[in-house]
Amino acid sequence: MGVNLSGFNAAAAAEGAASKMAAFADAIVDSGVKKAAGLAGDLIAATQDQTVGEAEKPNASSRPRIDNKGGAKEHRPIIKTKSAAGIIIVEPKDAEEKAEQHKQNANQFAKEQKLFDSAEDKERLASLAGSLDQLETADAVLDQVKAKFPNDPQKQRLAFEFLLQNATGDVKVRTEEAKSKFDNQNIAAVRHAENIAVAEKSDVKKPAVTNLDQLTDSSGDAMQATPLLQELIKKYNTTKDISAFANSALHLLGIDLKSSEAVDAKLVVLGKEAQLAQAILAFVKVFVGIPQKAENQLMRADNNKQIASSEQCAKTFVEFLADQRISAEKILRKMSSLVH
Amino acid sequence: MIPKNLPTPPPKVVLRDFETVAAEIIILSQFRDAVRAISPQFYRSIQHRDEVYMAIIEALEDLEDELEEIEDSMAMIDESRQNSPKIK
Repeated sequence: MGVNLSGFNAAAAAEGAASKMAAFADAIVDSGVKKAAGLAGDLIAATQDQTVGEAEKPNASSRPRIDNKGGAKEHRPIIKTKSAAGIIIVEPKDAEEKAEQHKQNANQFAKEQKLFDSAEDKERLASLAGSLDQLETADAVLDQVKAKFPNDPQKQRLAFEFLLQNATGDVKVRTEEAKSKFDNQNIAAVRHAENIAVAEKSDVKKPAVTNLDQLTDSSGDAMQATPLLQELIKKYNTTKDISAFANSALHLLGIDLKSSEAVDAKLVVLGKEAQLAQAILAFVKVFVGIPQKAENQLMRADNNKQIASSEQCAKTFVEFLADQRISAEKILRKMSSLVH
Repeated sequence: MIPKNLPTPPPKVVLRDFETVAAEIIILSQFRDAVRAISPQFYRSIQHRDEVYMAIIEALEDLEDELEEIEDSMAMIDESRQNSPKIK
Protein backbone atom coordinates (compact mmCIF):
# COMPACT_ATOMS: atom_id res chain seq x y z
CA MET A 1 0.00 0.00 0.00
CA GLY A 2 1.28 3.37 -0.88
CA VAL A 3 1.12 5.25 2.36
CA ASN A 4 2.73 8.62 2.02
CA LEU A 5 5.01 9.28 4.93
CA SER A 6 7.13 11.91 3.25
CA GLY A 7 6.05 14.50 5.81
CA PHE A 8 8.20 12.77 8.37
CA ASN A 9 11.33 13.15 6.30
CA ALA A 10 13.90 14.43 8.76
CA ALA A 11 12.40 13.15 11.93
CA ALA A 12 11.44 9.74 10.65
CA ALA A 13 14.83 9.09 9.24
CA ALA A 14 16.32 9.11 12.67
CA GLU A 15 17.72 5.89 13.95
CA GLY A 16 15.54 4.11 16.48
CA ALA A 17 12.35 5.48 15.10
CA ALA A 18 12.22 3.14 12.14
CA SER A 19 10.38 0.34 13.94
CA LYS A 20 7.78 2.70 15.34
CA MET A 21 7.45 4.27 11.91
CA ALA A 22 6.76 0.89 10.37
CA ALA A 23 4.21 0.10 13.08
CA PHE A 24 2.55 3.41 12.39
CA ALA A 25 2.34 2.72 8.65
CA ASP A 26 1.00 -0.78 9.31
CA ALA A 27 -1.60 0.62 11.66
CA ILE A 28 -2.87 2.97 8.99
CA VAL A 29 -3.12 0.15 6.52
CA ASP A 30 -4.43 -2.52 8.87
CA SER A 31 -6.51 -0.87 11.54
CA GLY A 32 -7.34 2.52 10.26
CA VAL A 33 -6.46 6.00 11.29
CA LYS A 34 -7.63 5.69 14.89
CA LYS A 35 -5.03 3.20 15.92
CA ALA A 36 -2.46 5.03 13.85
CA ALA A 37 -3.20 8.27 15.62
CA GLY A 38 -2.42 6.59 18.93
CA LEU A 39 0.86 5.34 17.65
CA ALA A 40 1.68 8.67 16.09
CA GLY A 41 2.27 10.30 19.44
CA ASP A 42 4.86 7.67 20.42
CA LEU A 43 6.44 7.87 17.02
CA ILE A 44 6.77 11.62 17.10
CA ALA A 45 8.14 11.56 20.60
CA ALA A 46 10.70 8.96 19.54
CA THR A 47 11.77 10.85 16.46
CA GLN A 48 12.04 14.06 18.39
CA ASP A 49 14.18 12.33 21.02
CA GLN A 50 16.49 11.22 18.25
CA THR A 51 16.61 14.29 16.08
CA VAL A 52 16.23 17.28 18.30
CA GLY A 53 19.10 16.24 20.41
CA GLU A 54 20.40 19.09 22.41
CA ALA A 55 17.72 21.43 21.16
CA GLU A 56 14.83 22.24 23.35
CA LYS A 57 12.14 19.57 23.21
CA PRO A 58 8.73 20.83 22.31
CA ASN A 59 6.23 20.39 25.05
CA ALA A 60 3.29 18.08 24.80
CA SER A 61 0.91 20.78 23.80
CA SER A 62 2.76 21.64 20.62
CA ARG A 63 2.99 18.27 19.00
CA PRO A 64 2.57 18.38 15.23
CA ARG A 65 -0.83 17.34 13.96
CA ILE A 66 -0.97 14.27 11.76
CA ASP A 67 -2.89 14.47 8.56
CA ASN A 68 -4.82 11.52 7.19
CA LYS A 69 -1.96 10.50 4.97
CA GLY A 70 0.33 10.14 7.88
CA GLY A 71 2.21 13.32 7.12
CA ALA A 72 2.89 15.96 9.72
CA LYS A 73 1.19 19.32 9.45
CA GLU A 74 2.44 22.55 10.88
CA HIS A 75 2.90 22.71 14.66
CA ARG A 76 -0.23 23.88 16.35
CA PRO A 77 -1.05 23.72 20.03
CA ILE A 78 -3.61 21.04 20.84
CA ILE A 79 -6.69 22.40 22.52
CA LYS A 80 -6.36 21.10 26.01
CA THR A 81 -10.04 21.13 26.70
CA LYS A 82 -10.73 18.54 24.02
CA SER A 83 -10.32 14.86 24.61
CA ALA A 84 -9.12 12.47 21.94
CA ALA A 85 -12.74 11.83 20.96
CA GLY A 86 -13.31 15.54 20.47
CA ILE A 87 -15.45 16.00 23.55
CA ILE A 88 -14.76 19.22 25.37
CA ILE A 89 -13.63 18.65 28.92
CA VAL A 90 -14.68 21.55 31.03
CA GLU A 91 -13.04 22.38 34.31
CA PRO A 92 -15.36 21.76 37.27
CA LYS A 93 -15.64 25.45 38.10
CA ASP A 94 -16.50 26.33 34.50
CA ALA A 95 -19.01 23.50 34.39
CA GLU A 96 -20.86 24.93 37.36
CA GLU A 97 -20.91 28.39 35.85
CA LYS A 98 -22.07 27.03 32.53
CA ALA A 99 -24.82 24.96 34.12
CA GLU A 100 -26.02 28.01 36.00
CA GLN A 101 -25.97 30.05 32.81
CA HIS A 102 -27.95 27.40 30.95
CA LYS A 103 -30.45 27.35 33.79
CA GLN A 104 -30.93 31.09 33.64
CA ASN A 105 -31.25 31.05 29.86
CA ALA A 106 -33.80 28.26 30.06
CA ASN A 107 -35.84 30.19 32.64
CA GLN A 108 -35.75 33.31 30.51
CA PHE A 109 -36.79 31.38 27.41
CA ALA A 110 -39.57 29.63 29.31
CA LYS A 111 -40.87 33.04 30.38
CA GLU A 112 -41.03 34.14 26.75
CA GLN A 113 -42.54 30.90 25.50
CA LYS A 114 -45.50 29.95 27.61
CA LEU A 115 -45.24 26.40 26.39
CA PHE A 116 -42.45 25.60 28.86
CA ASP A 117 -44.27 26.47 32.05
CA SER A 118 -43.39 23.49 34.16
CA ALA A 119 -40.17 23.26 36.17
CA GLU A 120 -39.51 19.91 34.55
CA ASP A 121 -39.54 21.45 31.09
CA LYS A 122 -37.17 24.21 32.18
CA GLU A 123 -34.83 21.64 33.63
CA ARG A 124 -34.95 19.63 30.41
CA LEU A 125 -34.14 22.73 28.39
CA ALA A 126 -31.18 23.57 30.61
CA SER A 127 -29.82 20.04 30.50
CA LEU A 128 -30.29 19.97 26.74
CA ALA A 129 -28.21 23.10 26.40
CA GLY A 130 -25.61 21.63 28.75
CA SER A 131 -25.28 18.45 26.74
CA LEU A 132 -25.12 20.18 23.38
CA ASP A 133 -21.32 20.57 23.38
CA GLN A 134 -20.92 16.83 23.75
CA LEU A 135 -23.14 15.92 20.81
CA GLU A 136 -20.87 15.52 17.85
CA THR A 137 -23.34 15.17 15.01
CA ALA A 138 -26.55 16.80 13.88
CA ASP A 139 -28.31 13.45 14.20
CA ALA A 140 -27.25 13.20 17.82
CA VAL A 141 -28.62 16.68 18.49
CA LEU A 142 -31.89 15.79 16.79
CA ASP A 143 -32.21 12.55 18.77
CA GLN A 144 -31.46 14.32 22.01
CA VAL A 145 -34.09 17.00 21.42
CA LYS A 146 -36.65 14.36 20.53
CA ALA A 147 -35.75 12.34 23.59
CA LYS A 148 -36.16 15.34 25.89
CA PHE A 149 -39.58 16.24 24.54
CA PRO A 150 -41.02 13.02 23.14
CA ASN A 151 -44.10 13.20 20.91
CA ASP A 152 -44.33 16.95 21.18
CA PRO A 153 -43.19 18.55 17.93
CA GLN A 154 -44.09 22.02 19.11
CA LYS A 155 -41.84 21.79 22.16
CA GLN A 156 -39.16 20.15 20.05
CA ARG A 157 -39.30 23.04 17.61
CA LEU A 158 -39.08 25.62 20.39
CA ALA A 159 -36.25 23.67 22.00
CA PHE A 160 -34.32 24.02 18.76
CA GLU A 161 -34.94 27.75 18.81
CA PHE A 162 -33.63 27.91 22.35
CA LEU A 163 -30.52 25.94 21.45
CA LEU A 164 -29.86 28.10 18.41
CA GLN A 165 -30.12 31.24 20.51
CA ASN A 166 -27.43 30.00 22.86
CA ALA A 167 -25.15 28.00 20.58
CA THR A 168 -22.09 29.34 18.81
CA GLY A 169 -19.54 28.11 16.30
CA ASP A 170 -19.53 24.46 15.30
CA VAL A 171 -22.21 23.62 17.84
CA LYS A 172 -24.52 26.13 16.20
CA VAL A 173 -23.80 24.69 12.77
CA ARG A 174 -24.66 21.20 14.01
CA THR A 175 -27.80 22.47 15.71
CA GLU A 176 -28.91 24.29 12.56
CA GLU A 177 -28.37 21.12 10.58
CA ALA A 178 -30.41 19.15 13.10
CA LYS A 179 -33.18 21.77 12.99
CA SER A 180 -33.21 21.56 9.22
CA LYS A 181 -33.58 17.76 9.43
CA PHE A 182 -36.34 18.18 11.98
CA ASP A 183 -38.18 20.60 9.67
CA ASN A 184 -37.86 18.24 6.73
CA GLN A 185 -39.24 15.37 8.77
CA ASN A 186 -42.20 17.51 9.76
CA ILE A 187 -42.86 18.54 6.18
CA ALA A 188 -43.05 14.86 5.36
CA ALA A 189 -45.54 14.51 8.21
CA VAL A 190 -47.56 17.37 6.75
CA ARG A 191 -47.69 15.70 3.36
CA HIS A 192 -48.67 12.44 5.00
CA ALA A 193 -51.51 14.12 6.90
CA GLU A 194 -52.59 15.81 3.71
CA ASN A 195 -52.71 12.52 1.81
CA ILE A 196 -54.79 10.98 4.56
CA ALA A 197 -57.15 13.95 4.44
CA VAL A 198 -57.58 13.53 0.69
CA ALA A 199 -58.14 9.80 1.08
CA GLU A 200 -60.78 10.28 3.75
CA LYS A 201 -63.05 12.55 1.82
CA SER A 202 -66.07 11.53 3.81
CA ASP A 203 -64.69 13.07 7.00
CA VAL A 204 -65.85 16.58 7.71
CA LYS A 205 -62.81 18.51 8.85
CA LYS A 206 -62.78 21.52 11.07
CA PRO A 207 -62.12 24.51 8.83
CA ALA A 208 -58.64 25.92 9.07
CA VAL A 209 -60.09 29.32 9.70
CA THR A 210 -60.43 28.47 13.39
CA ASN A 211 -56.69 28.68 13.63
CA LEU A 212 -56.63 31.86 11.67
CA ASP A 213 -59.03 33.46 14.10
CA GLN A 214 -56.84 32.59 17.05
CA LEU A 215 -53.73 33.85 15.39
CA THR A 216 -55.06 37.14 14.18
CA ASP A 217 -56.05 37.86 17.76
CA SER A 218 -52.40 37.87 18.73
CA SER A 219 -50.38 40.96 19.48
CA GLY A 220 -49.95 43.78 17.04
CA ASP A 221 -46.32 42.83 16.48
CA ALA A 222 -47.34 39.46 15.22
CA MET A 223 -49.41 41.11 12.55
CA GLN A 224 -46.52 43.07 11.12
CA ALA A 225 -45.59 41.90 7.67
CA THR A 226 -41.98 41.13 6.89
CA PRO A 227 -40.18 43.60 4.62
CA LEU A 228 -40.53 41.15 1.77
CA LEU A 229 -44.25 40.92 2.26
CA GLN A 230 -44.47 44.67 2.55
CA GLU A 231 -42.78 44.88 -0.81
CA LEU A 232 -45.33 42.48 -2.22
CA ILE A 233 -48.12 44.55 -0.75
CA LYS A 234 -46.74 47.68 -2.39
CA LYS A 235 -46.38 45.90 -5.66
CA TYR A 236 -49.83 44.39 -5.76
CA ASN A 237 -51.98 46.90 -3.99
CA THR A 238 -54.96 46.42 -6.23
CA THR A 239 -57.47 43.66 -6.53
CA LYS A 240 -56.65 43.38 -10.21
CA ASP A 241 -53.57 41.31 -9.64
CA ILE A 242 -55.06 39.04 -7.04
CA SER A 243 -53.50 35.93 -8.52
CA ALA A 244 -49.96 37.22 -8.45
CA PHE A 245 -50.28 38.63 -4.97
CA ALA A 246 -52.05 35.78 -3.26
CA ASN A 247 -49.92 33.16 -4.91
CA SER A 248 -46.69 34.98 -4.16
CA ALA A 249 -47.62 35.54 -0.54
CA LEU A 250 -48.79 31.99 0.02
CA HIS A 251 -45.84 30.47 -1.81
CA LEU A 252 -43.54 32.65 0.20
CA LEU A 253 -45.04 31.47 3.45
CA GLY A 254 -45.50 27.89 2.32
CA ILE A 255 -49.09 27.97 3.47
CA ASP A 256 -51.18 25.13 2.20
CA LEU A 257 -54.91 25.42 2.62
CA LYS A 258 -55.79 21.95 1.48
CA SER A 259 -56.73 20.74 4.93
CA SER A 260 -56.88 22.01 8.46
CA GLU A 261 -54.43 19.31 9.57
CA ALA A 262 -51.97 20.47 6.98
CA VAL A 263 -52.28 24.03 8.22
CA ASP A 264 -51.81 22.89 11.84
CA ALA A 265 -48.76 20.88 10.98
CA LYS A 266 -47.42 23.66 8.83
CA LEU A 267 -47.63 25.98 11.80
CA VAL A 268 -45.31 23.73 13.71
CA VAL A 269 -42.91 23.59 10.81
CA LEU A 270 -42.96 27.29 10.20
CA GLY A 271 -42.18 27.88 13.82
CA LYS A 272 -43.67 31.32 13.89
CA GLU A 273 -47.37 31.80 14.28
CA ALA A 274 -46.88 35.34 13.07
CA GLN A 275 -46.25 33.99 9.62
CA LEU A 276 -49.78 32.73 9.35
CA ALA A 277 -50.98 36.11 10.51
CA GLN A 278 -48.90 37.52 7.69
CA ALA A 279 -50.68 35.25 5.26
CA ILE A 280 -53.93 36.72 6.52
CA LEU A 281 -52.49 40.17 6.02
CA ALA A 282 -51.67 39.22 2.48
CA PHE A 283 -55.25 38.12 1.91
CA VAL A 284 -56.55 41.27 3.56
CA LYS A 285 -54.49 43.30 1.14
CA VAL A 286 -55.86 41.27 -1.71
CA PHE A 287 -59.36 42.10 -0.62
CA VAL A 288 -58.72 45.72 0.24
CA GLY A 289 -61.43 47.79 -1.29
CA ILE A 290 -64.14 45.15 -1.51
CA PRO A 291 -66.34 46.65 1.22
CA GLN A 292 -65.65 50.11 -0.16
CA LYS A 293 -66.48 48.90 -3.64
CA ALA A 294 -69.68 47.34 -2.38
CA GLU A 295 -70.69 50.53 -0.65
CA ASN A 296 -69.90 52.59 -3.72
CA GLN A 297 -71.94 50.36 -5.93
CA LEU A 298 -74.99 50.42 -3.74
CA MET A 299 -77.62 52.42 -5.44
CA ARG A 300 -78.96 54.44 -2.63
CA ALA A 301 -77.03 57.27 -1.12
CA ASP A 302 -78.79 56.89 2.21
CA ASN A 303 -77.68 53.28 2.82
CA ASN A 304 -76.48 52.60 6.30
CA LYS A 305 -75.42 49.02 5.75
CA GLN A 306 -72.45 47.82 7.63
CA ILE A 307 -70.25 45.78 5.38
CA ALA A 308 -67.63 43.48 6.84
CA SER A 309 -64.03 44.62 6.96
CA SER A 310 -61.54 43.53 4.34
CA GLU A 311 -60.05 41.21 6.91
CA GLN A 312 -63.37 39.48 7.49
CA CYS A 313 -63.88 39.18 3.74
CA ALA A 314 -60.44 37.62 3.38
CA LYS A 315 -61.04 35.17 6.22
CA THR A 316 -64.38 34.15 4.78
CA PHE A 317 -62.73 33.51 1.47
CA VAL A 318 -60.04 31.38 3.11
CA GLU A 319 -62.78 29.48 4.88
CA PHE A 320 -64.47 28.74 1.58
CA LEU A 321 -61.20 27.43 0.18
CA ALA A 322 -60.58 25.20 3.18
CA ASP A 323 -64.11 23.85 3.38
CA GLN A 324 -64.35 20.29 2.18
CA ARG A 325 -68.08 20.33 1.64
CA ILE A 326 -68.84 23.76 0.43
CA SER A 327 -72.37 24.50 -0.73
CA ALA A 328 -74.43 27.47 -1.88
CA GLU A 329 -76.42 27.30 1.37
CA LYS A 330 -73.30 27.54 3.47
CA ILE A 331 -72.04 30.41 1.39
CA LEU A 332 -75.30 32.30 1.67
CA ARG A 333 -75.41 31.77 5.43
CA LYS A 334 -71.90 33.09 5.71
CA MET A 335 -72.53 35.99 3.38
CA SER A 336 -75.37 37.23 5.51
CA SER A 337 -72.87 37.70 8.33
CA LEU A 338 -70.76 39.95 6.13
CA VAL A 339 -73.45 42.52 5.55
CA HIS A 340 -75.65 43.79 8.35
CA MET B 1 -116.65 31.11 19.46
CA ILE B 2 -113.33 30.60 17.87
CA PRO B 3 -113.40 27.70 15.47
CA LYS B 4 -110.81 25.05 16.03
CA ASN B 5 -108.41 23.70 13.42
CA LEU B 6 -108.03 26.93 11.52
CA PRO B 7 -105.87 26.57 8.44
CA THR B 8 -102.39 27.92 9.09
CA PRO B 9 -101.69 31.01 7.05
CA PRO B 10 -98.94 30.73 4.43
CA PRO B 11 -95.57 31.91 5.77
CA LYS B 12 -94.78 35.49 4.97
CA VAL B 13 -91.98 35.94 2.53
CA VAL B 14 -89.78 38.54 4.10
CA LEU B 15 -87.79 40.30 1.50
CA ARG B 16 -84.46 41.62 2.59
CA ASP B 17 -83.59 45.11 1.60
CA PHE B 18 -81.98 45.91 -1.69
CA GLU B 19 -78.66 47.17 -0.33
CA THR B 20 -77.98 44.05 1.68
CA VAL B 21 -78.41 41.72 -1.25
CA ALA B 22 -76.55 44.00 -3.64
CA ALA B 23 -73.59 44.20 -1.25
CA GLU B 24 -73.52 40.42 -0.89
CA ILE B 25 -73.53 40.03 -4.67
CA ILE B 26 -70.65 42.44 -5.06
CA ILE B 27 -68.53 40.71 -2.42
CA LEU B 28 -69.34 37.26 -3.75
CA SER B 29 -68.47 38.34 -7.29
CA GLN B 30 -65.01 39.19 -6.00
CA PHE B 31 -64.77 35.76 -4.42
CA ARG B 32 -65.83 34.15 -7.70
CA ASP B 33 -63.05 35.94 -9.57
CA ALA B 34 -60.57 35.11 -6.79
CA VAL B 35 -61.35 31.39 -7.01
CA ARG B 36 -60.34 31.40 -10.64
CA ALA B 37 -57.25 33.43 -9.96
CA ILE B 38 -55.85 31.41 -7.06
CA SER B 39 -53.28 28.80 -7.97
CA PRO B 40 -54.71 25.26 -8.33
CA GLN B 41 -52.19 23.99 -5.80
CA PHE B 42 -54.19 25.50 -2.96
CA TYR B 43 -57.08 23.15 -3.66
CA ARG B 44 -57.21 19.51 -2.75
CA SER B 45 -57.96 18.72 -6.36
CA ILE B 46 -59.29 20.28 -9.52
CA GLN B 47 -62.66 18.86 -8.51
CA HIS B 48 -62.48 20.70 -5.19
CA ARG B 49 -61.79 23.96 -7.02
CA ASP B 50 -64.74 23.34 -9.33
CA GLU B 51 -66.97 22.59 -6.33
CA VAL B 52 -66.00 25.83 -4.61
CA TYR B 53 -66.51 27.74 -7.84
CA MET B 54 -69.88 26.15 -8.58
CA ALA B 55 -71.07 26.69 -5.00
CA ILE B 56 -70.24 30.39 -5.31
CA ILE B 57 -71.93 30.62 -8.71
CA GLU B 58 -75.04 28.91 -7.33
CA ALA B 59 -75.08 31.25 -4.34
CA LEU B 60 -74.72 34.22 -6.69
CA GLU B 61 -77.64 33.01 -8.80
CA ASP B 62 -79.81 32.70 -5.70
CA LEU B 63 -78.85 36.23 -4.66
CA GLU B 64 -79.57 37.57 -8.14
CA ASP B 65 -83.01 35.93 -8.07
CA GLU B 66 -83.61 37.48 -4.68
CA LEU B 67 -82.51 40.88 -5.95
CA GLU B 68 -84.85 40.53 -8.91
CA GLU B 69 -87.73 39.75 -6.58
CA ILE B 70 -86.94 42.81 -4.51
CA GLU B 71 -86.76 44.96 -7.62
CA ASP B 72 -90.11 43.60 -8.82
CA SER B 73 -91.77 44.24 -5.49
CA MET B 74 -90.29 47.74 -5.39
CA ALA B 75 -91.58 48.38 -8.91
CA MET B 76 -95.02 47.15 -7.88
CA ILE B 77 -95.06 49.45 -4.89
CA ASP B 78 -94.01 52.39 -7.04
CA GLU B 79 -96.67 51.55 -9.59
CA SER B 80 -99.39 51.27 -6.99
CA ARG B 81 -98.35 54.61 -5.52
CA GLN B 82 -98.52 56.25 -8.91
CA ASN B 83 -101.92 54.72 -9.67
CA SER B 84 -103.44 55.54 -6.31
CA PRO B 85 -105.66 58.71 -6.32
CA LYS B 86 -103.84 61.70 -4.97
CA ILE B 87 -105.34 63.11 -1.80
CA LYS B 88 -105.62 66.85 -1.91
